[in-house]
Amino acid sequence: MSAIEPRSAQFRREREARWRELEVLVQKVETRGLRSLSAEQLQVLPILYRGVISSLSVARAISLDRNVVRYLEALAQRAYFVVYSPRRTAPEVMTEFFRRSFPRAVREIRGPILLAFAISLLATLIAYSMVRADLDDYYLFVAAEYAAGRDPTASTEELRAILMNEDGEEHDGDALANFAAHLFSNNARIGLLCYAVGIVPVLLVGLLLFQNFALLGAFAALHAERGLSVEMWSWILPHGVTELLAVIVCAGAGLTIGLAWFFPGERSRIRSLVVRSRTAGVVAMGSVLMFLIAALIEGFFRQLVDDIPSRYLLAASTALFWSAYFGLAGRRSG
Amino acid sequence: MSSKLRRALIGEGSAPSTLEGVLGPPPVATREIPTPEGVTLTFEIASGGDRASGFLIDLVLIGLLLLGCGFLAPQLLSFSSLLIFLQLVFFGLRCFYFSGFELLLRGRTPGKLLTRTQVIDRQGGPLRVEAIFARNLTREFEHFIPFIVLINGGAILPDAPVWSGWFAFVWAGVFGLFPLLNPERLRLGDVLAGTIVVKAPQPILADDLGAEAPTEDSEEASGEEIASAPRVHSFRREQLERYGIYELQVLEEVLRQQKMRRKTLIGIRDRIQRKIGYEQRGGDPRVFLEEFYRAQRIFLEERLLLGEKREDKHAADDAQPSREGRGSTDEGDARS
Repeated sequence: MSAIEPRSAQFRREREARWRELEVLVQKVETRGLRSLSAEQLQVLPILYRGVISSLSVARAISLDRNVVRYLEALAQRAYFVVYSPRRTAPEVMTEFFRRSFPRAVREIRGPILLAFAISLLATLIAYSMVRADLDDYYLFVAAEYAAGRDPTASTEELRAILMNEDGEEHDGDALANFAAHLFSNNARIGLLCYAVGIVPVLLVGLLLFQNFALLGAFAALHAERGLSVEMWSWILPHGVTELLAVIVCAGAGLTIGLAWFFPGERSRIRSLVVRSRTAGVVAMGSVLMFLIAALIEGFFRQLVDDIPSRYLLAASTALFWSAYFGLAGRRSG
Repeated sequence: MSSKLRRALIGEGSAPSTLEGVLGPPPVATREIPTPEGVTLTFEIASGGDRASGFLIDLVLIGLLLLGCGFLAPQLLSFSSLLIFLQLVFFGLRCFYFSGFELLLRGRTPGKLLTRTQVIDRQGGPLRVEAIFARNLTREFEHFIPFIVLINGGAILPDAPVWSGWFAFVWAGVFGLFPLLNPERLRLGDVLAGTIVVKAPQPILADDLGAEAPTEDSEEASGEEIASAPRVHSFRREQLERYGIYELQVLEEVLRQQKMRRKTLIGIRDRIQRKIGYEQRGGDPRVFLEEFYRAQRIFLEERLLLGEKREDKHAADDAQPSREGRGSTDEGDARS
């Protein structure tokens, strides 16, 4: 049986150069992106890819050389992703995210967000009216360690001092930066928690939201009692617009996932979860950045500016900005 | 069945420990993704061990980054703010480490690079940003929150009861083991995002063993037999009819192992010579095996063209024209 070569060896020899060529191109795209290819290379890439795909199916049929079949399989897999899901650079991804994906995703789940907003509003109002009726109810909503002196035993003067930066804290840049950092991680945690717990028990989101906003209501009631409402809202709102919005938006994302499970609509439950949680994920990720902005405002601006009109001005302009952003950004198709 | 075949081919007890290494792990779970070209690609699903070790590597890396910041920061910051700074860094890593790397490295984190795994879309579509966010944000829920509760129950909800620690432990356990309970090793985040973690394909093209007759340049061959190369052995048709595709490919694996012990090769050579009734016993084992491999492959590939697919040595001789399915197409072997 002194024979010629195996047919598969001949098959391989005729095509190997092109496989190698594709291997080089794929490697290049994977490390340096699609843009690193010349126009010529871009043109041959899909041709080479199709060549390898057809080599693969031929090799499966005729070749008993397992190494070749496996090589082609792996090469085809890598090339498949290069051809069908081209890599985008980090700036492209970020721009796309902020210009389109995030505001669109928020609009898409506006139902659950409105629900979260309703829960928040309700919590605030309930706590407010209860504390106005009986100051001792303050402790129902606000834990002692959180209040940090801002409770019914504090004098009006003390409360005013905290609101208007008259408490004698040092205001050097370093301390402020850390304050911002601290707040950033605290607030964002509440939001992300709302998102996370939405996955299984929807009720927990409501509970967390309720707790958080009842705190706000109680706080507002205490200050209203002392005639400090104007000062208090000027203290809360500049960053609060962004921050409370982010909490609500995050909770809306959490509710979306929970509702997708309970009310899948025409899709299967799993499919409904997949579709909705992708949207919710975008929203949650975007709101982390809203928390960052809120903390920056809180950490820097509010501590430095203590006249009431400019605080309200900032609060109004953030409100305007966010409504324009979520209302308009990314509306055009593209 | 297959272990019986292995033993039959290679001979029982000749060198069991090496042979386990030769033949590789048993067939693994795969996910088939059809391409628009009509050819199905078979992805190998990453094992639970790969997943766990990848995750641990990433966690260790996060820990090291934090530690690094802890050592560097005191030079720049006052001591009091150090803790807050570290908290910020930790928060940033927790939120952006996995998503950031998976975005930049096409579905891979450093841990996944080291374990050679990769996230892909379950349907084979492009891996979207949304999917990456969704699958990584759920880590919060699956791992981070239960661990924080485990360490400090009051961190999430004040006044947490004592049993919350146990609850968190069970919680983390359930979601940690979730991938082991489904065949595709999906984490909860994978289910939500519609993704799957597969072994990253590594195209390695070795020399074709059948391309040319074994020659002098095989390094470890000892002198005297080599003198009579290139072709020492010849086989008759009925000798080549003894084995099938399966045995051929096991032999391919054996021959591709560079560090195969000579004693093992001699064992395999003797076994084959006995089985096919080869007249001149002995000879350099590698030369014999390579020539036998080559002749066998030419023979089987020609029969394949005629529509006769002989799966293994137990296949009835002519009574079966191509039984599709097994054989070269779905030999998903883990090692590549």
